[in-house]
Amino acid sequence: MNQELFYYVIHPLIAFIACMGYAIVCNAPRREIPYCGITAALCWLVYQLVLRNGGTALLATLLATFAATSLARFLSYHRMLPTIVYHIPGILPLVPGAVVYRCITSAMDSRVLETTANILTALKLAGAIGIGSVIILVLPQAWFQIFPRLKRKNI
Amino acid sequence: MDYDTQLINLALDAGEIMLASGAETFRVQDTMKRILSTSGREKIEALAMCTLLLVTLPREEKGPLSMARAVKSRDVNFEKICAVNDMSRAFVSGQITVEEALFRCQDIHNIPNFKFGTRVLGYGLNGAGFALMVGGSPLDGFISFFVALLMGATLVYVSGKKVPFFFGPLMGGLVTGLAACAAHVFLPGTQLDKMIIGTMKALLPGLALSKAMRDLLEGNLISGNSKVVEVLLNACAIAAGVAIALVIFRMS
Repeated sequence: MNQELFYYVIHPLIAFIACMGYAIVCNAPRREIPYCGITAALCWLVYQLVLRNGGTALLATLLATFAATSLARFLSYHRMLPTIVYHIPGILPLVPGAVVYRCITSAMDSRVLETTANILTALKLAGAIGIGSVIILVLPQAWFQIFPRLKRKNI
Repeated sequence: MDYDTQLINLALDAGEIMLASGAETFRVQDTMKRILSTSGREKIEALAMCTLLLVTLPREEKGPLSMARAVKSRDVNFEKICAVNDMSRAFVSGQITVEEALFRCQDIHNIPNFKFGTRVLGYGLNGAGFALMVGGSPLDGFISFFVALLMGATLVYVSGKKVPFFFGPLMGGLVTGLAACAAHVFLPGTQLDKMIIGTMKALLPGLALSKAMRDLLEGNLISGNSKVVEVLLNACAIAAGVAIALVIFRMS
């Protein structure tokens, strides 16, 4: 299969389905579950775009967090719900699971240097997610009110 | 009850539901302050500190009114956060009275979760998807679906019991490790690391981490600090669970 098509189309689609699963776990309101998936799909698309074009994992994580958080704030304005509903499933693909796993295995084999390096990498990526989210979350609300608000029924 | 007591009860009820459902400290304080500010008094105060809510309403004529409430349960439930948000918006804009708002708080408190099967299926979809996304083969994804189903069933079962909060991640990690190792023994073509990473992602405290960072950087130092500790404890519990399973697997 075409490599680029696989990473830029199939992977975001998988992220869409996977994060809809996470939204169910978090008891998101039923109507909002597809939007949670869209946020995650955008996040993973940006991550793959940066990573496949020569960016480091840190830069890719940071830019993907920016994208996901901005979309979450945009959606939160239009659907009149808290940002957290879209934000948390949106940044889930970036959580450094692989680093944590390598950390566990290297600690089990007593490879001390590798363990320390892995812990620092995990903290670095987690910090990138945290800082990236906060930078977007403290921006003025007016910047995300691009289109007039759509009406949501039964408040 | 006079109006002030009802108002303060409403603020505490709303705050308790939000804090127990996993809302950010900032949002809880903001909602409580908005509800109290409908009284038109000055120097109202509403604080939320990880498991504690404090509300004060100064009254010139009868003396100040202040109440505290401890919030024990912690869960993630976005639907309740959204419902409280709508309720407080309607109350502050004057569409509903205090009595109606208190009744609505009761209703929100009793909103049912998704059913057991649906939540477990959510974990399954999540595990399968992430196993594929971290570079697993379709077979890995297929096996991860069932590993994640087992993990989800364990987590949902444990979350209903009265156990310390790190027990859930510990058992989740253990079940994940054991199930993935067992699958790897019977199907040597699968990649053990991809299956465990994919399934583990739903367990890792991404939600708590981003909330902790936000609290710290906004100056809510007490909540932020305690949430950082919570994140570290959770991550260590998951790592310990997976490590126990891997040790057992390597010995055999």
